[in-house]
Amino acid sequence: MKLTRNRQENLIRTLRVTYHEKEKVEVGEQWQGKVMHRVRGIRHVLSKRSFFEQFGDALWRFAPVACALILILGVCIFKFHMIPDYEVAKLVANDPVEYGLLQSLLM
Amino acid sequence: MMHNDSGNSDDAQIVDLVLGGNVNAFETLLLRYADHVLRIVKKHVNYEAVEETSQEVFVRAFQSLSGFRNDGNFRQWLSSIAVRTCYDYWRKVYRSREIAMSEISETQREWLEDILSDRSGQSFDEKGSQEEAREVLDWALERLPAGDRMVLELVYLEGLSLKEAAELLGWSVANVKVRSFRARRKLRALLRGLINDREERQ
Repeated sequence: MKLTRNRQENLIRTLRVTYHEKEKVEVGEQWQGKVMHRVRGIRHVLSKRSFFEQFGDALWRFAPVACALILILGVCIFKFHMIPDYEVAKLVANDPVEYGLLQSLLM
Repeated sequence: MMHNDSGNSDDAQIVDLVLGGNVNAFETLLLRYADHVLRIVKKHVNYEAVEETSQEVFVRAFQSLSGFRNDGNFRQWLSSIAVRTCYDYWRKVYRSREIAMSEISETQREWLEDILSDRSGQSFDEKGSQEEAREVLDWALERLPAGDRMVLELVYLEGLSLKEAAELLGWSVANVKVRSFRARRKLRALLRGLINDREERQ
């Protein structure tokens, strides 16, 4: 027997009716009492979360922004040759007078 | 799913009470939505697991109550928890193989053939036929992975849109679309195999 479109639809319709019939199964009400019993046993889960847990959640929200900033800064540094270590080394190498941090502070 | 603004604000107030430490107020939500949750759970899990799964739904709802947004729809939020709990139930069952897979009998094969022929409408209302239909449905669903099973039930049997099913399961619409296509193809192959098997035997 071929499973034609009409036959398939007929079958799906029948299975759909069967599926909805499952709703009619009777269930007792004892489980509701058990829920409240379990809920009272775990009431501590509603206690306020610690500062570090809240901070951790908030921190992750800024992750995409931080990534974008890192990328932008990276591009800027690469484009404008803003390499601080290199700049300082160049300054020291090119300075005819012995230029040191101590001297700059004493000035 | 119906939206009721006064009901929503009332639910939000009760949620605030519970979060404020009045755990007994949760019982109001439990009594208000017990039937709704039962309706969902009964359709997705086996009869023996209905009570336990319904309990689990409310316990999970209680545990994640702080994640409920006060401007949201509590009924919708709870429905989503119920569907995901049923999905987790099936994942657990499939992993541990707690339930033995049912086999299809000759009567059920005959029923399937009747349904696929033009004689179907006449006999379906009879109690015996309903039982056979349920057994064939369970037989086919048991052979699908948990995710495919849930999608098939929500989209094809319940008639929800892909977006609604995606929201309930917490998946993307594209994922639900792919899974529903795959699940339907698997179901068709299973039923075709069942019919061919019977024809070969005759």
